[in-house]
Amino acid sequence: MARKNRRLHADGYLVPTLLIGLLVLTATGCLLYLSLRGKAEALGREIKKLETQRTALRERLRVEESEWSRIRAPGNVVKALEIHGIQMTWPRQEQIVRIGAPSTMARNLKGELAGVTRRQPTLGTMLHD
Amino acid sequence: MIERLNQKRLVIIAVGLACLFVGATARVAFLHLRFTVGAGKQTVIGKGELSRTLITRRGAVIDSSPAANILALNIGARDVNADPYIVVSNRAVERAATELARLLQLDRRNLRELLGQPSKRYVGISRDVPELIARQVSSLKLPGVYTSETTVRQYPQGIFLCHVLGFVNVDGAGAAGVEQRMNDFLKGSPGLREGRIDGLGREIYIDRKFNIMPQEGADVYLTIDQNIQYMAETVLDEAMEQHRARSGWVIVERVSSGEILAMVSRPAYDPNRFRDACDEEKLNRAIGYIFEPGSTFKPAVIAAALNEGVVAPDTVFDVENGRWAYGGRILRDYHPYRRLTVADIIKKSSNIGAAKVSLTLGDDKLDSYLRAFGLGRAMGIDLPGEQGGIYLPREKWSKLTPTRIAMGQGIAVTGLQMLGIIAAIANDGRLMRPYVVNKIVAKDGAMLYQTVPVVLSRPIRSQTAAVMRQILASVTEEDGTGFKAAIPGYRVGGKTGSAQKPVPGGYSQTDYWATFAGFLPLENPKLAILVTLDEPQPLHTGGVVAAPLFSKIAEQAVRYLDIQSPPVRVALKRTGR
Repeated sequence: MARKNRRLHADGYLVPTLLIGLLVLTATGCLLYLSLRGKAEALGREIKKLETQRTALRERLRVEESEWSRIRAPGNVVKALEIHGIQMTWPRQEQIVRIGAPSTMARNLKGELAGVTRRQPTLGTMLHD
Repeated sequence: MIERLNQKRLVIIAVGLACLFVGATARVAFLHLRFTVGAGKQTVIGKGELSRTLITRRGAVIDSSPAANILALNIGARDVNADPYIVVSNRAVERAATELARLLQLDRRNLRELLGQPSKRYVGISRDVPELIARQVSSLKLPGVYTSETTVRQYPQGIFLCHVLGFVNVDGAGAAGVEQRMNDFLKGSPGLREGRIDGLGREIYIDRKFNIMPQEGADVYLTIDQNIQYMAETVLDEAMEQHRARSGWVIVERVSSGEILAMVSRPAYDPNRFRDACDEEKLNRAIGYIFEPGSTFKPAVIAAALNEGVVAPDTVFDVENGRWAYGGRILRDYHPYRRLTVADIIKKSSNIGAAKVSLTLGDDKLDSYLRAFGLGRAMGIDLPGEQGGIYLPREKWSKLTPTRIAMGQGIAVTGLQMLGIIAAIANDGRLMRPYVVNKIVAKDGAMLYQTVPVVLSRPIRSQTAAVMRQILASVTEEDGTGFKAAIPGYRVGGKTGSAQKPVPGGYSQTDYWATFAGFLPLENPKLAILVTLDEPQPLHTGGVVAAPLFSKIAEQAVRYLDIQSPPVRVALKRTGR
């Protein structure tokens, strides 16, 4: 009786190559999908975190604005001045010094003077003559 | 041996592949199949689906000063709610009631009743809870108790400017003042987010279908200046206490445009706690309360007569030594005089003189002038609740009516109407529509609305107005009834009024409205101010009670606004050496 060639004849159940290929392909597809999805979700989480952070910062800004408005209220300013013993009064008309806009002539003169001061002395010029 | 090894390898590979396949399938199923969620997620419309309304922020209300002070704004808060079914199922009624009562300052017994109703799936526990306390509630992890995001309207300065600002009701809609009138601009529109949630109830960002961001409400910029408002409020509050007045109101207006720089009404309320305020406190008396103006009204009649040319400032009238019988009734003056010029009728505030001028003008003309001065209709200010006053139609006038109208009786006006008459005289005869909203600006900076000054009517010519200003200036001179309204360095025009309050069968002998309405500087009027105290005691005349308040407010306002009095021209005499 001829010896059985084990290389040519395998014992037991053999998984069909097509099935294995299909399974591997499906699993790879799933993995790829999950990987991409995971990355997208990570970005989504980051965006949501930033959204929440922005909302919180806006909220904080509002609370600060509200508090600042309360502090700056004339009544509170007056109270603060009283606490520190500061008395403020309106100046009398004669105490007010008004500085008007410079006239055209004054502006021209100012420009000329500026030109003079910008001029640099040349070498060898006597500065104190 | 080799065969067995190969078999083993095959099994391992198969098992590995199977695990990978099952794991991947499970994960995909987890992501794509729909799950139910726990209590408090009302935004979930179906299994795994999310539809959330994104709350919007109401716009801010800002004053007109260069610092642009915020007078009203929305800040974040949370509503605390519960699902009694879950609370009862977890036998947590007692614990939840105790903890919530402690943190939210609520009655424990009421809470126990509220939470112990397993037939209900929703009850509201507390609204507008500050974030800090809401976080404490959440950290307790009480079963069935959850919080939801909301915003709360805040008025950082409490009662300050309460009647102009108004308040926002529990539904988030403006219910008084600017909040009500400008609600459409202020409220904004909520956003919408639709998408999906995972098995743990978290939103899956990449599955968002819609994300329409909420549109925040526009900001309303007022004409009111916080600092002038404060001056007016402080002065009125002090006077209310000093004169034990029942109520009072002050209006400061820019005469050339009708801009309201300050509007005060007392008593007042805190719009942050509007539920605690009564209707008396909520009433903006400057526009919603009508009163007989008394002598303050005389300038309207005299101006009409001067404009019509039936009298001149130096026309003399017999004022009957303070007692005049007309139409079967006696008319009296506070101080008796024999003869007064038209100018002196104003200066000395003669009732008899004003009545005679009124009769000289004639009923029809008087009626048409007074209508042109804005009587009998609201001025059209951009605030809700403005009254139009009481003004009888011409057909219903009796013989006595023009004599009574001339002294400010038999008609009723709001403070705003009375100030309008004085401001029209100050503004060369132009009656301006008063307004408190300067502009409305969207969050992106777009101008949505800008108020343009409107001339309502021109009852008198500018020459007549100039003559009237000189006459009204005499009132604040040393021998005038309103000399206490004078301000050092400025010439002031105005008129006092001490009107008896009507009671059944006549007029009260003890209760008065004390008023002063005036403007300054006389040469080029910029500001018009009205001050009224209701039932001041024991002093009750406008000259003694209201005129000093005008002076105090006006003196500070002209300094603050840098309104300068024109330089006094001194005639230099040429002296020869």
